[in-house]
Amino acid sequence: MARPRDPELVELLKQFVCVRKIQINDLDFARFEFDFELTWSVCLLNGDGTLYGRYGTRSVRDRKRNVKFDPDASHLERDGMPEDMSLEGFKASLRATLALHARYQSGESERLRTQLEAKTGDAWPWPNPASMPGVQRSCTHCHQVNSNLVLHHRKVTPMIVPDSILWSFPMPDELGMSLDPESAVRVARVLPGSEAHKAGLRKGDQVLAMAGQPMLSPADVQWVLHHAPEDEYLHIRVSRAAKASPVDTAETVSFADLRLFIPKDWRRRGSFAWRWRSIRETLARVLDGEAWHCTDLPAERRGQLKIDEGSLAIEVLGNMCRKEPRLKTGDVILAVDDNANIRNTSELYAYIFQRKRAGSQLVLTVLRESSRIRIVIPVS
Amino acid sequence: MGVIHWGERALLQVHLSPKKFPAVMIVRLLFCAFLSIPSMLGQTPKPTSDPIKPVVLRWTAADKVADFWIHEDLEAGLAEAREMGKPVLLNYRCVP
Repeated sequence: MARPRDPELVELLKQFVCVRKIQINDLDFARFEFDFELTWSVCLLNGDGTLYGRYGTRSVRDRKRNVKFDPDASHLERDGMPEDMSLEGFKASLRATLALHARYQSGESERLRTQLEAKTGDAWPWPNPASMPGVQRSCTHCHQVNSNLVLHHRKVTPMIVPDSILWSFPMPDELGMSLDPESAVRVARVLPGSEAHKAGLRKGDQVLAMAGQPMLSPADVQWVLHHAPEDEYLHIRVSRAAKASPVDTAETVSFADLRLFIPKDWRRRGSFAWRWRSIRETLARVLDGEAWHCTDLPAERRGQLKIDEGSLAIEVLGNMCRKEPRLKTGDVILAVDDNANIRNTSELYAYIFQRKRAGSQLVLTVLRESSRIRIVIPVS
Repeated sequence: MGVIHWGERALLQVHLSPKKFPAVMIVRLLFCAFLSIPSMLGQTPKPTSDPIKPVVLRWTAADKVADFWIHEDLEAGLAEAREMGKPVLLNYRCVP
């Protein structure tokens, strides 16, 4: 990481003790778990080890491949930004952290510590990434964590790979609430009729707390949603500014305590297909070396290939199989196990990881250069 | 003359008189040749230390960021934060 060139960011960072780690080998899973599909992540904490929050979000592929987020303005101008993060948003989260830190240091530590306890996670099957099986010992790759977690569940609790592992760190968009990446945690949009709308959330609301935890960033919201039980209500505290009348210039700030319903299977509304690095690694170990990178076939290509709107069509963008690959770039998957109920790329991956037992076979019907072929792959 | 064979192929022939080139020198020559085998085969010994550390050291020297970032040592960062009353920003970042 180069020295930040944004003067405001420099002044903010001077108020922190900045520690950089480029290896996660010894990362304490229970303490510093983050979305391991990220290549850049921040944990914000007190010197006593209490975790204040996280920063770092990715929910889709970056606009450009291999874009690296870095709080270095020239770098951002050069490479563009991941869609879920911004320099302004990062600075807003740092300011929110400093405000929380001031409260913590000035006598509120006992009460805050209780609220912040839930920011650290549960025990993992391994104490740290270096303890996982089959990882590169010199420098464990972050995406290997997610892959190992899926493989661990397939091995230890067959056929019970939870949705929370596949659709991990979900975005609040799936509940109808979009956050503004230029802010710490400000609501940018509320979808009419959604759970967020029914809860009473409004555009412009500042989310102060969820499930009792102070919110510093979109990553904190994802953390709460990642652990939120389904079929239950989640408590949200927001602040909202309002003018007494349209001609008033002064705004008054009010607070609202809302209840957001978390429906069953809500995660499946989103896609985790963008997590292709860990998916590819998991696939290779489940499907005899096959390591695809797939996406839902775009509408215009559907038209060109004369594939109906409602039928399955998943395009293979690449296959990193080290042996002779069965699926090839440009192939379109039209059916899985003849009639498995799969609608998109995420559901295909979930079907393989959650439903296909070791020793069985995966049968794909594939369109390759205007011919339909059947491909059979052993599952392990 | 001394000859070292690999199967039917002569690997090394030494045409030297024992007076001018005593046996101890031949042993030294063979020992040096043995040591050079890995480099002749294009192999380099595996580094025994952490391969990432040189990268970090290079950055801290070249980018002059040592005053800004503590590299790889969270415990040192936590201790400094306690002493200075500051919060800690812990950044996990892959090697670019």
